[in-house]
Amino acid sequence: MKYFLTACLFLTAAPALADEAPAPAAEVQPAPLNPAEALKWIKELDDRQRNSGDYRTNIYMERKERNKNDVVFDATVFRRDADDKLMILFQAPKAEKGKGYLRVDKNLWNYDPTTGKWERRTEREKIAGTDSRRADFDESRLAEEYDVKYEQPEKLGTMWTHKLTLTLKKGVDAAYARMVLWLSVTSGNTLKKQEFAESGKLMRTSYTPKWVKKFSPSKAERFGKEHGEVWTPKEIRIFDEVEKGNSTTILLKEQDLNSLPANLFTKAWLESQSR
Amino acid sequence: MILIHIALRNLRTHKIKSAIVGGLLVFAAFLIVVGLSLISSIDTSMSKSIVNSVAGHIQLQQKGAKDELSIFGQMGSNEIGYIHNFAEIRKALESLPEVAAVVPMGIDSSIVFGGNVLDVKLEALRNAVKAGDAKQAAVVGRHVRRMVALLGEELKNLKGLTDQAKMSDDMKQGLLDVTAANQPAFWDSFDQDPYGHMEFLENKIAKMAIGEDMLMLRYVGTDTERFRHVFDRFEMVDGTPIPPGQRGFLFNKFTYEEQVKHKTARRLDKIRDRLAEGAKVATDDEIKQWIKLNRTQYKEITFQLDDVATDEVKAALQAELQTKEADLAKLVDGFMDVNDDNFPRRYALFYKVIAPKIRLYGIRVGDTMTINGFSQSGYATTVNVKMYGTFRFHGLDRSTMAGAFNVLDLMTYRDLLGYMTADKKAEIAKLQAESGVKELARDTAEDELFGKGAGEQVEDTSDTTPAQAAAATPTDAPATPTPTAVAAAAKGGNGDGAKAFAKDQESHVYSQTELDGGVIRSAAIMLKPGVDVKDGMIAVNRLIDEKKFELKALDWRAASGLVGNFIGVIYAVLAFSIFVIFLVSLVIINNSLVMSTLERTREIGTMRAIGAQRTEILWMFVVEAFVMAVVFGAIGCAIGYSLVAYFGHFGLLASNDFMVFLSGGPRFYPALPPWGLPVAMLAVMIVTLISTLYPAWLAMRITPLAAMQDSE
Repeated sequence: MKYFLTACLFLTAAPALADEAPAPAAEVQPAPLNPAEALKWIKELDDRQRNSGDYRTNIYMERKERNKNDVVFDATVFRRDADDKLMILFQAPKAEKGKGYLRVDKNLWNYDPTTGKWERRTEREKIAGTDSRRADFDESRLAEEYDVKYEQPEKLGTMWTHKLTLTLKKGVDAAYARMVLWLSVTSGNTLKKQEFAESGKLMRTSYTPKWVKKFSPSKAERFGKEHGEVWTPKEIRIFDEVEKGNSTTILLKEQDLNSLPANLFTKAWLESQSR
Repeated sequence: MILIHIALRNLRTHKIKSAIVGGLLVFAAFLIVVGLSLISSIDTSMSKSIVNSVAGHIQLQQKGAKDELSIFGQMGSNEIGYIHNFAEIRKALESLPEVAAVVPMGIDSSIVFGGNVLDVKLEALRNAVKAGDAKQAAVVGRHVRRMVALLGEELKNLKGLTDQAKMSDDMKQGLLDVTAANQPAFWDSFDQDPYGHMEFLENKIAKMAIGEDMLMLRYVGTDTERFRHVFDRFEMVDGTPIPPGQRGFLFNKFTYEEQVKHKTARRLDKIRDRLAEGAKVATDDEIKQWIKLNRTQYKEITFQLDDVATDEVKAALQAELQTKEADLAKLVDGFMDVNDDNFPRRYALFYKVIAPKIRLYGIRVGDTMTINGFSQSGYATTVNVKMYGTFRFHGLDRSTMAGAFNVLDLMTYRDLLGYMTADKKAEIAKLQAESGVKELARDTAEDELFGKGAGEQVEDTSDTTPAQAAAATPTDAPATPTPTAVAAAAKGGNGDGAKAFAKDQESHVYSQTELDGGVIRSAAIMLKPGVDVKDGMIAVNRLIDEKKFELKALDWRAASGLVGNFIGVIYAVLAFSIFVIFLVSLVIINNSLVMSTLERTREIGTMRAIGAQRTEILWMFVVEAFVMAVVFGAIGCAIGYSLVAYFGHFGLLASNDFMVFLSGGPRFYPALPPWGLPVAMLAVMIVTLISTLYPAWLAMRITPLAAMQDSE
């Protein structure tokens, strides 16, 4: 019994201890990547964030806009990457409860229970009016959607990173035409991202300083236990580069990789949540 | 008297000089008369346009607000503040003898998403299925099936034209999906799983249909009953006014026609109007463009026709085109290829046969429309509101500026405004406190996140399987919410969700106390007839000071923003033109008189020799100038006055939308204010006299000796 309690305590406390532990910063400048290696890094970035099963997380979003009231939301994000499905269900404040987004294939729908209407939205939709976009919550598909070009090793604060430029492939619809990524040399995670419009104008700068590594049973089952890791961001800081002074912070909490009900990603299900 | 004789003689003697100087004086007097008439008339008619449509004589806004109210100045909300105690303000203001009425209002813009044609039809199908209306579901289902079939044919043609190798994977998949949706088996099994089938149609098929419409609507949120009675330019066109105390929306007829009407029908209307103005199809590029659009966008019609309507339209078009062509798309294409001769017949045929079978207006009288807005609180707000009808501001039918204002009831306006109440603020503050988010400044964010002592934070729980994590969770700790728990939490059965937020709103009749009791952004004051705006402003400001209201009063010009300033720009342009004309006149008159003085040295010397004093010489010049100013000024004034009187009687056609607004109607009727002629004459005299001073001074210095030397 004593050992069981100790084990329980350890398992409970371990994530909390890990939470505050900064990853070791690379102190030596890394060698530049060749094009094949750069593409491999991006593919790996996609793979490690991809979960072959379902995904759910609670999120807190806070948008700050100059000279305006802060806007905050509590919501739950559901994902079924295998079917390209995503759903965001708002929980708070009270007046926002039951509203939601549903992505099925290339359709992004917005639902408002006050009117009972579904409206088709574009990839450029600002989720709930914040600086976030659908892609910030969805599965990473960078290698699939963008052409990759390596820039150079670059320091981000005290950390060495690989800087890469990604250009949207022809025929792909995404919120931004080009992005520049700063990838952690040690963890491979995206630490900084700048996104540009087709005109070349810088639109957003975002930072992802906190990541969580989870075990995905479905991924392990499919690719083997050693490949069962799924990385997800824990905190995203987005700064609007067009409307200076505006920013959005997203906290992703309580990620869960268990299976979700089969009928979850439907209009009928989202409607039923506010019935 | 003798000086006047001499002056008249001199004018006759020096004909060229008189003609040059006189011409300038005539032109200057003409310009002043016409200019003053224009300014005065534009000011009057524009005030009618603005005061009697949306602004009133005076507008009130919160004192100390960051932005000044600008009714026509900018789209969207600005920070003009809030008025909280409107009921008290209204009561106090309406007790003033100068004030006729006070109307609460707020001006804002919102978006109405139309959805693409298939989305709209699928929504109707979903509603019918949800309501269990099998008959309606069957009718709408048949129409959807026809639309999918048309889409299939369309894509088949496209497939034939497009290189398969270059076709994107999405396109290839889309073709397969549309083919699947056109199989009889798909429709045979529809009733077994209607929601599943609709999800397929909505997500796989509808995205390939015609793109969606989006309306950007500008509206005045107001006490609609009060508004329509106080603003006398307001008049209903279709439907009924919003019932007192109820929620509702009225489209301005201009916006309704321009934005809500079926695009093909609207283009046909425009062609009709243009041809009525005398244009010809062959030579008018815009008409050609409208015809081209009508021909290429035939789907706007074919998609909207069900089976029965299709047959009827086909028969009518075959008769008109005298063809046996069975393809409706080709028939519509041919039908829309109009010329000067067949247009009147085809226009009439369109409205007789096709228009009743299509959705001529995206939103019809009696429909419930969904308005999306970004509220002042920052949250997106969406409301359903019934469309009761259309209205216009009398005489401003064609004006884009006045035509952009629609009318929304005050309670719905307040919902869209999303004013941050104390409760909402407290709820948000609580959520923020619970989140523990630390604010980062943009400039220092990178350092704070990745600088010394900071860095990437990685939480590694990959060694813990979900089952282990669940086992490790202490029994008294809140368990990670499962989707089911999330679903249960989101059900909102306790009536506190977004749906409850909108409950009972549509049928509720609001009392005057409720209407006046909530927050508003501004208020329009209409003064009693005959009260000057300046006097009204004095009375209102006095009351604001007495009652210590946190209000700022703006006259209609200031409240109109850029448009109100336009009259100032016209004044400035006219004043500058007159200044330049007078400056040139001054120089030319001065030169002419100097030349004339030099030519008359002998004459002036002789006059001095026979006893004329210097002051008499001076007066001779002054009188001469005066006579010139009176004669030529009067001629200029007469020409100007005649022109103003002519157009004042027959009117001047307002050539564009903005001129309609400035004119207060389709024709502009200039009128000369009573002080116009005296001002013009006075200005001409002053300039002429100033021009005379130097030559007169030269003449005064001429001595008899100098005159004799000059003659030798």
